[in-house]
Amino acid sequence: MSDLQAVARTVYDACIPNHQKLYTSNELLAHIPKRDPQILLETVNELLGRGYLKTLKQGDTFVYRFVTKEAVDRTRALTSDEALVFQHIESSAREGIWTKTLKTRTNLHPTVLTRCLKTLEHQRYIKAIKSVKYPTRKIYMLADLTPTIEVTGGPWFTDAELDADFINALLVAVERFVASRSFPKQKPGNNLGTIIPFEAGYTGYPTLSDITQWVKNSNLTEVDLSEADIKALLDVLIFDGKLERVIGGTAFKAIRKIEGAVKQGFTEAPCGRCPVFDLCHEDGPINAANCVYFEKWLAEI
Amino acid sequence: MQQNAVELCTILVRDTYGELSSRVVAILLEYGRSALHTIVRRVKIPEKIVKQTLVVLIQQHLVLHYTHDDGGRDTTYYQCNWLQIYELLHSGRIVRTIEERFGTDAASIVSNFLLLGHAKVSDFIAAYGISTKAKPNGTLPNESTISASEATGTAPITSAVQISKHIVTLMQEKFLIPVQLHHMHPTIDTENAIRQKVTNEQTGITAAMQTKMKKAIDEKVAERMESLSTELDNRNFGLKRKSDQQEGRPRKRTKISSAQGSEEEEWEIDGTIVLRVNNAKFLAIFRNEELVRWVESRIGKVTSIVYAELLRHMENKTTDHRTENGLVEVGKKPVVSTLDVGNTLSKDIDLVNSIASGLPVTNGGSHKRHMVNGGSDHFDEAEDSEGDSDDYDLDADVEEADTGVNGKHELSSAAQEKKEQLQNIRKHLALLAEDSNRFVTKHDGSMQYGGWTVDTERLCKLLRTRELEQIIEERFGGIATRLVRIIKDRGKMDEKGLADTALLRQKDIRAHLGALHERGFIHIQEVPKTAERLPARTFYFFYFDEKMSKMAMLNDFYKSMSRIMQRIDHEREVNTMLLSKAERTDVKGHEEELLTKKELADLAKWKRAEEKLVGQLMRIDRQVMMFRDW
Repeated sequence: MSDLQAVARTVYDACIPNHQKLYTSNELLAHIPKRDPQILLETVNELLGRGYLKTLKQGDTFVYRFVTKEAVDRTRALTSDEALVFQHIESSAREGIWTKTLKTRTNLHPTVLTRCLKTLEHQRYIKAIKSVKYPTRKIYMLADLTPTIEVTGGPWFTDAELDADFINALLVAVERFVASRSFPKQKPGNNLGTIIPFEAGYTGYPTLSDITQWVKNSNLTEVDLSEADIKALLDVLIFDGKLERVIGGTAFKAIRKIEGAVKQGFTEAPCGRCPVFDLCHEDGPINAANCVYFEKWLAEI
Repeated sequence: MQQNAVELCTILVRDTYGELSSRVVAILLEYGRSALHTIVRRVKIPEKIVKQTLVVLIQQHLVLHYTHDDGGRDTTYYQCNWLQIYELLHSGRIVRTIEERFGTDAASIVSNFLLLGHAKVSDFIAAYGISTKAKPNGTLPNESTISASEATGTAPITSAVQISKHIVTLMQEKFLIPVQLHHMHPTIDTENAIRQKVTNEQTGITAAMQTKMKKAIDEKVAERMESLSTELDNRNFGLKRKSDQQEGRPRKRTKISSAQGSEEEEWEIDGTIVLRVNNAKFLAIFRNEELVRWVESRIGKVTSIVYAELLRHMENKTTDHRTENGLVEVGKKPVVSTLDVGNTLSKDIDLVNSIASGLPVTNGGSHKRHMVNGGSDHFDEAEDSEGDSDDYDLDADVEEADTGVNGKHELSSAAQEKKEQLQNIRKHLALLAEDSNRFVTKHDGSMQYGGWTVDTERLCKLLRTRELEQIIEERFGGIATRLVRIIKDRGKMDEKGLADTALLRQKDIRAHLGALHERGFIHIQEVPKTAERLPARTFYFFYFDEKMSKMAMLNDFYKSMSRIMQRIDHEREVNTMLLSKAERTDVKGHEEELLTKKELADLAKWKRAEEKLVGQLMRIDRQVMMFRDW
């Protein structure tokens, strides 16, 4: 801090505890002796020049933000190329920046750029992230930021990969929950083993918010799931034919499953799942008489 | 008509009527409508024999014919009625249905009509008892069923009175119908003839006016075509005489022994009419059975019984016609009232304990409660109030009926019981109506306890969809089913959109999409981003075409059925020696003594294999009906 004039130093010391705040020039003027605009101008210039202050634009007016000492030291230690790269990465904020864009923006030679990125990454100033949208791109952002949902892809993604196990586990859990609410509890006297339905007009089927609430309270996952996420899950279950919408689409009900129900016959016979079905011909090399699949199927009576 | 269907029909005819008929049928199916000399030339069999074969086939309704009389030189064309050929597969089901409803005697009558194609009533009655044994015992695919009912059926029928009584019943229920002239002609010829007639009636039309008139003529033709069949359905027994004089064809004619309001037994049958089995009626019955089965799996056994009863009433009120696009209901949708169902439903069915009431929802807070701390207390409450659940209304629209009940408690116990039964039936019907498939639709009428209609066409469409999805699931797995359903629901979608909706990785669904596309379940539309049409710069949208999938599926069904029948033949062939020994008259019935241990084992094995194959054939037949006829 020794490099600063006394006035600039007082202003900096006064404002740095609140360094996230954006200051207007009027607010800064309060720290200037005699509220002299001339001195303010000099001070701001000095602070800007040494990297202790940043100008930002808010609407039509300029605002200032103070930079912590560590950050200043950090940038000061960088070479000019590195600083340039760092600046661009910093400006990309939580979106991250693609190396190719970085190259065109900085206009640096590829080897120089790679070196800069390497040193920056090594010093833990920046990190490489994976984007869901562009899985092949190399994208950098500041090390202390978390990427946005557009980049990570939301709760279903782990390391930019769809987390199939996680989703399947949730699907099963949600289905079980809805199923438990869709049919009445068996009466003790009723040992027919059949599930009886609720009467028409029953409105106790779980709604989207019920299900979301249940998932939240169930400790199934630490990931925060919104109603939209749960709806996506429910949609998948509907497409799987496990649930259906009831009461005008506002609530969900499980579809009854029957053990040992009569299934369609086509795929049970050899022809329905025959790999050479298209080649099969009465006079051809593959026909009903010499069919090995029939042989096997008839043997398993 | 598809190639695989041709193959199947040929096999069916060969199995039932022998090689000769099958060759003629094959030619007719392959070349379509042909004149006699063309058939003779192609089939390479002497004309006399071809003629004899055609007579048999026409008798069985398998071949239709039409004579054009243009310019004095009449030419008769023959055309194969392949749907009727397919009906050969249904004979087992038909006989069984009749047996269930009217007993073995009626079943044997129907099975004889099936074997004869069509028959004059007087001949039929006269020949009964003698002819049943002498008849060519056709090797129908479901031989076992038929011969079984025949064996039981021949003995008990003793008098002609009994037979005609059965026939009258079957006719009243439209299981047997009189053969009409247009049954023997291809539809298109009948239509052309009518068109000709209609056009001739419009005399003095100039060429310019003709285009204008075309629409009017078309309408008139359609109307008359319809009247051809409705004439038959709507004809009451009393009205019959009148229409009989029209064409000089033998028709159903029953004498009225007493005037209005006569009892069924008083109807008498005219010996001169010619009867056949009404296949469309059976198709409708099979369809209803399928719907009931569906309800059973979706809702429950008791509800399905109620539904079956409802459909039975429905069936008596409508007549379905078979068209190229499946069964078509004629006229207005019939309404069945809850009262009708109640009148015929067996009293032994436990209507009450098959539905749980979900009352507590109405009293506010329970809704929140059950989602927080599990539903146990909530359900207990439901059980407590089970007893008086009758007082609660299911729907607002049935309220008027209920208020009446609550007001009159002094009703006699029998009437009270009846009322309760009706209310319970109504509960089941309400459940059916509320289901997302809408198995029944409430009819807006003033009927007490409500009236109901069934939209069979829509239901069958849903049934098909369900079946198709099941097939996809069995063949390609759950993920493929999910994808197909998404595509169906959302319309055209690219791979990325699909992956996002299905919550699956793109690379995981690619293989499934490929397999589905290969078998014709889904299709791809390419939309190039640039003029170059580079594959990399093209959108690929997947879409589902129900009609195409349906056709692809049917084609596979036919092929698979042909293979099963060929396999049955093959199994027979392999065991020829054994079977001919087992079928010897001296061996029959004494298999245990006359066959060796190995032979017995082989025979049992062959029987099991054949049963399995035939069973499978019938299961696919059910699917064919679902996809084609319903």
